[in-house]
Amino acid sequence: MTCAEVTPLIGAYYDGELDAARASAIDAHVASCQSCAGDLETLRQVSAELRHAPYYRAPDALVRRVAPARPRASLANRWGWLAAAAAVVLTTATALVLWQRPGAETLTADAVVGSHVRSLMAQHLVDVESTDRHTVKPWFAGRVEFSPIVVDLASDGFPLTGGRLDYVQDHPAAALVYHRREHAINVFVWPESGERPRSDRDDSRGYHLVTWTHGGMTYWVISDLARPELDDFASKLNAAVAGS
Amino acid sequence: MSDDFLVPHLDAAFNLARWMMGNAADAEDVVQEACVRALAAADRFRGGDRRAWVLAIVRNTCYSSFRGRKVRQTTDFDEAQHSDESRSVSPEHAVLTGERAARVQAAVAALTPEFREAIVLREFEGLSYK
Repeated sequence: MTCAEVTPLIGAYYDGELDAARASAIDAHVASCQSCAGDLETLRQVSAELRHAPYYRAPDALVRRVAPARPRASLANRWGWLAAAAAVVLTTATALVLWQRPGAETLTADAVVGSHVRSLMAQHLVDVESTDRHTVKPWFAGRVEFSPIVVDLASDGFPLTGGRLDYVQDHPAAALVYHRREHAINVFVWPESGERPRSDRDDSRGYHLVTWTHGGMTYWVISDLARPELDDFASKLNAAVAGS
Repeated sequence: MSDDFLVPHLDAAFNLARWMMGNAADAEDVVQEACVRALAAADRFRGGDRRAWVLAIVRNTCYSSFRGRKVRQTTDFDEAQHSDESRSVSPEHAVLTGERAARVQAAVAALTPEFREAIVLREFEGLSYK
């Protein structure tokens, strides 16, 4: 392999995503090529440093210029909350009146998106802040009439941030908040009978959702996290809940 | 036309642009330009990962910047000065100060743009090298 062939593959090689044939060809090349070996070492070092580097959030002024119709989290105020809630209600009501009635799951999905966005906008992500499920789970006792299963996924890279009492379509829901890097993941849970197989949906506003009903509870997982990672989270959550 | 689909990805867009361009001012210009392009191209989005689509536009806008427009040569080492930048602190990432920040900035800036982009997308967005 030549350096020109190796360079575009070096990221995938580092991630262990290359097939065996190309990986060993690169092994061989790197062993004798200082330049490519240097690239690889740079990749290792910079990746490691970046893991502890700041994630630069878009400044408010920029957000306002780009999306003037959607004021964002740090401008949180009561009117912003009401306007967002009104927008969700109005959109749903309009959909009902003007078009074919959307399915029940779609209505719930819209409500879940609304609750998720509100939890981010009002900077009210958690009522109980703890990475320990033994603190979060009992907090819900007396606040909701069911006991949500709270699992620990920190070793999978999804630390628990806390819990929140929320509402979805006028019924109380437990919201379990996890994080993956800077991305908040809301897991809405409430009691529901029956079995509903897992389904995925992508909200047009950029949120990814996964939902299922099993063991007397309905789960709605929502985040702006990229789909492959969210799917990974949902699978691990499902397995951990089933196993407890 | 609704620009709602951009809002969830503005932080990711700015972060990528910030690491690619090396300073906040150029990053803001890039993100603004990228949003204009994204809105114009919105009906060409055929589904899939919206975030990756937006970030690809941001990345292309960065490269356009390198090739053509005036690019400020400065890289911001002292982020604590800019009040808006203090919002960058997030649960998982400690604030890098002083020497360490300068080292990371310099290390990233020394990479070729393609390499820089791959590393930033991998570390911050979990998007594999494509």
